[in-house]
Amino acid sequence: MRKSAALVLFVLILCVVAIPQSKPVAPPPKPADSGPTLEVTMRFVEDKLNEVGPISYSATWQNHADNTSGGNQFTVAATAVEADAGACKIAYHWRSVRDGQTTRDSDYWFMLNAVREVVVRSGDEHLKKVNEDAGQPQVEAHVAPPHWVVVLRRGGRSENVFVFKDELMANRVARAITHAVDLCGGGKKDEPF
Amino acid sequence: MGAKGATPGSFVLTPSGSRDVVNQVNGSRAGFKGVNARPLPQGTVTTRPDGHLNIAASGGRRYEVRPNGTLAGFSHNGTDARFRPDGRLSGVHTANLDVSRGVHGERTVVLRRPDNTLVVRSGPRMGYVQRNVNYHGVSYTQRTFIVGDRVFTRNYVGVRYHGMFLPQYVPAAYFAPTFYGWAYYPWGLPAPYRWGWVGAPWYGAYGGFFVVSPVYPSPALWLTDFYLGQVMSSAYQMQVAADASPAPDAALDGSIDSGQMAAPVDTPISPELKQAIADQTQQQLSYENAASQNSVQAAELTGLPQVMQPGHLFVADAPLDVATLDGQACSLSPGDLIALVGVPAADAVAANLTVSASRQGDCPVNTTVTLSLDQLQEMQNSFRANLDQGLQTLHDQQGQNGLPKAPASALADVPPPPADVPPPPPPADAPAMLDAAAQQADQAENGVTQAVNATGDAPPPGSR
Repeated sequence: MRKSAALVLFVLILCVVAIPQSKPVAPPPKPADSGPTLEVTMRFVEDKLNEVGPISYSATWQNHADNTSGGNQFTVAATAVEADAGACKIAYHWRSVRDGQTTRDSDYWFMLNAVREVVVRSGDEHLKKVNEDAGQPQVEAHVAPPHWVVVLRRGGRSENVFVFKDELMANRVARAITHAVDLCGGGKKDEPF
Repeated sequence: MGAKGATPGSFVLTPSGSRDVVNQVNGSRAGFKGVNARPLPQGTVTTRPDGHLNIAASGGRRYEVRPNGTLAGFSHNGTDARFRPDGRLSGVHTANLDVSRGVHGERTVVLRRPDNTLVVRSGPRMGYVQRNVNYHGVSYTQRTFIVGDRVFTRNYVGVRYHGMFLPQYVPAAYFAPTFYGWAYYPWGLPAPYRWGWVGAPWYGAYGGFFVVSPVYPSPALWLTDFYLGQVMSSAYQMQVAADASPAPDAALDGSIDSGQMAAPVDTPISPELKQAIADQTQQQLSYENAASQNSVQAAELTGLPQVMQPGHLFVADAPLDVATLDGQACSLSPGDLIALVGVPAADAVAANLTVSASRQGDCPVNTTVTLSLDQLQEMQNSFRANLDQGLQTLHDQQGQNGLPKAPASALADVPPPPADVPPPPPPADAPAMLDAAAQQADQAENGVTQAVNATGDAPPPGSR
């Protein structure tokens, strides 16, 4: 893979070079992405998300400000996932239940080119972030059993999440979605203002 | 009472004046330890404008004494020795040998052999042998490094800068432009990576001074930790070797002010500093890629002037004793970070840099110190060589251990060069040369210790 620099060395040796001031150079070329096609990637994402099924966990919390504590039982599931390569769109049904009460039971979708960032967090890290974003950094929460959350950040504070029991699978799906986001023209963009 | 000395501001005392001064200084040294506890011999005293005294004693022995009475230097029979205020040897120099001991005890030996081979030893089976070799009919500098059981060579070409010829690192090979590109641009998703050496003793020894990142959003940050890790693991080996073979008669005197600036605590390498090094790494990748495609200007594109910009961070890769702007002394250790203050003048052979991160006992942060351009060139050489090594590791590990897989286009083979003559092999006796240098250094240090400890006015053995 490495190109012998014999030729380069030869020419370098010919110098004892007199060096002027620094010279600007262009960045190296970005390699053409040769990863899986968008179709293959979207199929992988769809299959793996549909394989996850419902995930149940308990969350215990402690509010260090008023010294209160408690816990909740959750079950969440993303079902009927459809990853549309032609439209760069992922649609799914999301249902979440807290302590036996359904809190969400709706269809959702998002465009991949709107995704700015894909992040994988542990369940604890995710709850910490949620509490911080809610202005309650004093609330400390832990989940059991452990799970992992793939967070897809869009503009502003909009985001979609998928929950996994398996860290490795969470990372694989996150990579696949990142690849799909790249292929669909998403990813980090400079803020215009 | 005396006469003006050869140096402006110096004054040579009469025999009686000299005797009085030596007696007075010896009286003030009563509570000292180690080499500073020995009475100074009588001799002709020269006072210097900086407050130091020179004593020319019998048998050609010359002593340099600091204003507080501690021994700063000793020379005899063509050997010059320097001492730290606490009595430790900091260096021994002869016509063909330089032995330097860092503030943490690390010893570097530089031996100039009659055949112009240079032997640089920084620890047991650690160092390099430098010689000029012919390749393609042209002479260039080859360094054969010995690191434990590993033996490898690196090549250097002399580059003219500010009137000096500096040895500039030449990569053994370049990578494909698209590989430089892959290493240049951030990864889409931060890559979790666990370094194999996180549990190693050297990493623990650095405590919080250097902390690796748990995830890497870009190859440049990964390469930064790779680079810093390489520098510090080598430095740790040097220190372990130093602890195993302390300087002779290293009876330290903690009661004496060290006389040099020393940071009271570590000032760690912050995430911001690491990011700055990562930015420089990214820029260097651009230079390397440009050089890979322009052999005529390769040295220019990757040379020291490219990075001599205000604020550029250099990473010390060897123990160095340096001077501050106000003339005080302090030390830098491998891993300390220093930032270039400004572009040196066209005729300058040194540059001013401000310490940005340093270990306890080294130059404190925000201290401005002066380093020679060849010292900066060696740091830049170390950076580029480690960058190449890091790129090779990235190339070999991409798609594994949490690192993203590089696109096939980045790994594409580069056309092989035309039939080539292999470069000269490294000298087979390089490890033996390092051992020989160590023995000579031992003899020189012991000789100095013996000579300087010879009390009274009788000259030491071998001086008549």
